[in-house]
Amino acid sequence: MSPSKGSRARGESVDEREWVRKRRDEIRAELEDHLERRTRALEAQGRSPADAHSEAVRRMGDRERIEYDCLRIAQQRRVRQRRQWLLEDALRDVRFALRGFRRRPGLATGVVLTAALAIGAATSVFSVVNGVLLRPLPYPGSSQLYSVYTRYLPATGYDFPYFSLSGPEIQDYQAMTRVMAGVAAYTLSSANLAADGIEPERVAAVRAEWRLFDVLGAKPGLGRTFVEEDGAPGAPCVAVLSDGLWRERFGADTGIVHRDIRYDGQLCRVVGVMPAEFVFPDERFRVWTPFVLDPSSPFWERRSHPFAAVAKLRDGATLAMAEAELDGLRSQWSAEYPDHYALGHFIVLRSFRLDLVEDTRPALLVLLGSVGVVLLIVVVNVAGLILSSAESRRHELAMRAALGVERWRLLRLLLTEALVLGLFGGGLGIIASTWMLRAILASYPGTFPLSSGIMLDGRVLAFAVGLSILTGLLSGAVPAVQASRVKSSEALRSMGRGLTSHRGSVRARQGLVVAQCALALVLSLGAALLARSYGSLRAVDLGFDPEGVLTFTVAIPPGSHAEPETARAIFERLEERLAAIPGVDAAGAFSDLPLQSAGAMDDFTIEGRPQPGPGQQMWNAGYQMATPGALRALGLRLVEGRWFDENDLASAPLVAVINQSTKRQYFRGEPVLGLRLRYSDEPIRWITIVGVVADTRSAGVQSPPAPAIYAALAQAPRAAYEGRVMTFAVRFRDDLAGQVPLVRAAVAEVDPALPLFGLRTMATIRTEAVGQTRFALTLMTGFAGIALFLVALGVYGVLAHSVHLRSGEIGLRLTLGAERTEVLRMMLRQGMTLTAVGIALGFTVAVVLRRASAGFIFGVSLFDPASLLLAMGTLLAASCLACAVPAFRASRVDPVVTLRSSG
Amino acid sequence: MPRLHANLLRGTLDLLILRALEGGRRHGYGILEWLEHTVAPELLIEEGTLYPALHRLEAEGWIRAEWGASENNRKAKYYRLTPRGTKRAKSESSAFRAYAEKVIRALDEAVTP
Repeated sequence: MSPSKGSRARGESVDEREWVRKRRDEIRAELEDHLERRTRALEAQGRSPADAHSEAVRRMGDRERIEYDCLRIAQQRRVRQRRQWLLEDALRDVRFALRGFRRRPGLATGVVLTAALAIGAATSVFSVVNGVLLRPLPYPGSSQLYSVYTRYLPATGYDFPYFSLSGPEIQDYQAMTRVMAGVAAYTLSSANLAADGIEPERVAAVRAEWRLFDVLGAKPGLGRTFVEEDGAPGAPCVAVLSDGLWRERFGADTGIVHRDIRYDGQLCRVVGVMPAEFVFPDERFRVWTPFVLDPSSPFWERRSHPFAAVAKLRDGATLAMAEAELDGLRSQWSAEYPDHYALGHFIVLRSFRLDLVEDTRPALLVLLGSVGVVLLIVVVNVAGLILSSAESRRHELAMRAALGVERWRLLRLLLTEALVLGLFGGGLGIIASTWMLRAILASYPGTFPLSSGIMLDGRVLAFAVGLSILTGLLSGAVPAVQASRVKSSEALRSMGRGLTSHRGSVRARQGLVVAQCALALVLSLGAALLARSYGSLRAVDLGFDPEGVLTFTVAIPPGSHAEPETARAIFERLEERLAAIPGVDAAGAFSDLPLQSAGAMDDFTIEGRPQPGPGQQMWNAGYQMATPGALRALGLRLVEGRWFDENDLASAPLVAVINQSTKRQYFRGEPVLGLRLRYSDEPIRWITIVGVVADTRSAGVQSPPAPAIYAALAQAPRAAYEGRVMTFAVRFRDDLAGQVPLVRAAVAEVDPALPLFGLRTMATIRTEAVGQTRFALTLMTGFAGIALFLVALGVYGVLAHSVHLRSGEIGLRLTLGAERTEVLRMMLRQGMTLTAVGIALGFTVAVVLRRASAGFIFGVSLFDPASLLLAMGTLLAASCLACAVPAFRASRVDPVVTLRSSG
Repeated sequence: MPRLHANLLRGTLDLLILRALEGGRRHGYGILEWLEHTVAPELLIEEGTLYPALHRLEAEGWIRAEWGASENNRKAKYYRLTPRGTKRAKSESSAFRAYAEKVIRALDEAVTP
């Protein structure tokens, strides 16, 4: 049955008022007829005509009322019927579409699979985006949470957009704010955790002001959180545990509350366990203990910035109000402490969520963009497929048009087809997305921030369904409009002449291929640039040799050894013991490992030089401590002088080694050996520079090296830095595999109660440092691959179609003496021309979009010729491959057969 | 004869209209006339009841309307039963007859407390 039968003349185009008027006229006519008959009947009974008429009118009663009642009935019926018709029509269209797919299973399968691929990919990426960037954090009113930072403008001699806070700054802010409901300071650290019956473990820990949980609005799952008394000076130590820690280490024992644990060697009472969804500031942190802002501490000064803080806006307050308030604080500070604040150093706020996800956000946005491009390509591809099928159904469609099927119904029919295909693809895509999501999670370095929110929730589902509908509608639009334009006369003309192609639709298909090529070029170019960037990242001179080095951290808290000298002595023994392991080349320790931290940035002064005054750039470098074996263990390069040795003891003259950046920046390259420097917290301890080492990438592969000053751990020249947490580097001569137990044994031999943690190879650390780029690269390469495949399909389709249409012409050419290679070349040229136009267009688009991926491009220009060549080359190769088959087929055309069939 | 309560009449009107059309097509006035002659002239079914009922039966598909010429060549609307309507007229007639007999018996019988 053809759907045209169902097309009732229901006058939807007729104006509603027109319809009402018509109905009313009918009712009136009916009633008029009634009156007339009654009048005549009464006349027949002998009444006078006037009398009879008035009697008839009297008997009828309220005529308008009857009209109204009848009209209402008609209207209700019309509404009911329309609704039913609409549903019936839609169902009929769907059934018709499904029947069509059975007739052309290849087309349907192709469309559904490509749509599933793209919708699946888009849905999986969106699942991540939704969980990481969109879902509310597991706190009430989490959008009101802000991280508090100090900002140093470059004029201060530092350039830190988001830096930690000093104690006095937090206290000032807490005292003056009216806009924030609460401001809580905290610090991130780690602690040795032990308890009866569990092995000592190093855990990431948060020390926070007691009000932290109140500011976050978080409730405990078990027991309580902090109360004000916990923050009083001298209060007994209490701790709140994470759900994960509680389950893994304490077997989810509810009796844990009110039990004591050892926290960095100190007895500490567990008062509460947080629920599983609670995360602060991110998933790694598993213990929270209270601390007090202590103005009597030696670090209580505006220059010392050890704290982080989180603040929550009052209900109804806005960020703009908070910023206005901070402007006030800023001018107050500038007036009170001109030395410190006049230059451009003040408090700023940043959304807490943004804070958590800032590392991941750029990668996710780039991926979302790429997957959007893939989706567009699929839309274009599907449009091409539907167009070619509409093409071969031209005759059928023209016949329908000739039989009086309205154009909009043809259009709707074709759109329904596309929509049904899109929904099938979407359904399959949602299933596929769970697999793809797993692949995305696996290729991510570590775990996503807020990863517990990554799931197929209602929003993701709605996104997928919406995308399916959009895919269907978009890809159906071009072919539907094209096909519905057929003229009925055409059908009759083309009767019995087989297929004739429509110039408009050929052009439309070529346009689609060009669009696909353009989109694919954008993706391939992006992937190529990422690949090149990744290459440059891997090639960066780190300033040390990461191969064959095992690293781990050991902490000796005051709870286990009160004297810092004892702790340092343990590290010395550990270094000796590690170096004695067979196969170990060198072992040493740093207070901060390169690629992970530059150490604390501290101001220093140089002997014999005037100290920088207020408003001048401070001399500032990362402060690190290291052991004699550290240089060789990590493979640092000594440029001048010497590194620390066994004679640099606490009793010997204090020595320091600086890096090249320090020398260049503060000594302008002058000879430095023998010069002395000091820190403001140890004004009488002069430290002599004895060596210069090559710069290392301390804050990450992409961050340029920063000035650094190394001190000898044995001398620990500054009391503020006791050197209780050291990271060891152990360089092995051969393979690292199987060496871990030896290292553990060595540590246990020195002190069995010492947990070592963060055990990793330096190579792993380097890989992780470029992890975001690698992640983006992996996925984008995948997307580019999909895009190329689809483009190849598209080019193949158009060319195959063209060969089919032109077989007569080709046959004629061959008969007239054309060489077969000539035909081959002609067809190839056609495909390549489309690709080339697409490339040109894509390049234009890429130029417009280039800023989007700028954050990931490292060490190559955005117009990197190699990347462009790579992208173009791949695209051309894929398209050439796709052209080859139809072109070859064209050159094999048998002139006799084609001429006969088209004659 | 006392007037019948309107409720009693309304319940049977559909059946009576269907019955009126069993003999073939009729226009509205014809149905009214048939009702007055056959059932009871004093029932006085009003146009205000009849026409909405006709339109409703039409909307529900029991009867269908067609336009024809009246005797003096004016437009007139005729109603006839649809196949569904014919079926309903038959089944409802016998159902109503059975019911009416019971009602009459109830009215005739002496009521004992």
